[in-house]
Amino acid sequence: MLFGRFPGLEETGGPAGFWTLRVPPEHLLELGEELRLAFPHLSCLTAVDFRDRLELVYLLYSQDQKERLCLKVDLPPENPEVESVTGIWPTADWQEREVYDMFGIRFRRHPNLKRILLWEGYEGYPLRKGFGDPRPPRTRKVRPR
Amino acid sequence: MSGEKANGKQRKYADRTEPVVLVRHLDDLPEEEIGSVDGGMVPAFWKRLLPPVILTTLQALVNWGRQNSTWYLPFGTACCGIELMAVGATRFDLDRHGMVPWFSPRQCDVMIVAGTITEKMAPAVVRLYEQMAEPRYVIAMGGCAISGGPFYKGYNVVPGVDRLIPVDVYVPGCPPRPEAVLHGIYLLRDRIARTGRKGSP
Repeated sequence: MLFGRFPGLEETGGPAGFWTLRVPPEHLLELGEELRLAFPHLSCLTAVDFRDRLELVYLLYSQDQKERLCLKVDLPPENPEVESVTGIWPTADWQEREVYDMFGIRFRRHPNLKRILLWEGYEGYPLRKGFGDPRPPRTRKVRPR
Repeated sequence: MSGEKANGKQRKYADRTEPVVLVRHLDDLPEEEIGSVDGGMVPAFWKRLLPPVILTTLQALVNWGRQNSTWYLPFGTACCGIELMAVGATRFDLDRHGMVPWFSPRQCDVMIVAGTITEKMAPAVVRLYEQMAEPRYVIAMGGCAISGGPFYKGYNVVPGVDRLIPVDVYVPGCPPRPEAVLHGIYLLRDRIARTGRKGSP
């Protein structure tokens, strides 16, 4: 039923115990609205850097059916942008901020998209593969004698 | 004068390098030596009634006081902090060394940094260190405080607290055994006892 309504949606390999779907980024919000009642709990939102693409991973759980579902969204490594699912699962708020903090993926229409763990003004995204430490080296402090 | 100083024959009392704590029990001395202890100022029979005389340098006395009342600021940011609690608790009992955990930097003499220091925590470490009164000492406890430990290459971890403040004693371990922490504390006490000597901080 879902496959007919969302072109580009396909089944794919994922974590054990999860039915995994690869979702085109433009259909994520619609699909999320569709899945909202069946899977009320977004248990994890994270991302993976494969150098040629960034993969967003949404892990959904249904308390009633004891069912698990995994959604994967591929994004380009340059200017990755995707629709925020905060309106569907409010718990996505901080998790999307963390993904933004670590991978630099911007979420459109997020209520408060800023760094959550690192401080404002930090350069770069630490969990990207090509990350280099922007901090200047510090010398060792020794008590004057 | 300078030649005599170089020979070490005639040095000022304040220049004495070795801490001398000498308790003289006058009762044990023969009569003629008792008379010469203070140059014959006090008659010998009075000296027999006086308490034993303690001869020391002022610096050594101050060091003795300091090394026996080193209150510490427990800067426990990770699992080493738990181990530090074990050192402070009854089995190892830091109180018997006069070390009281005190959660205000202004009354503390030694800061025990126990745990990973992140970039966000770094300003707090420096601020607390600067709020401590001189003389102040720092013990880096555990691999994280010494070098960053397993998080050495981390994007948000300071690779060693000595990048922020000068450290006196490094106690390695992950986390160190309480005995190792006690050994580090004894090393610090030795260091405090040597304060004022040449080449000592």
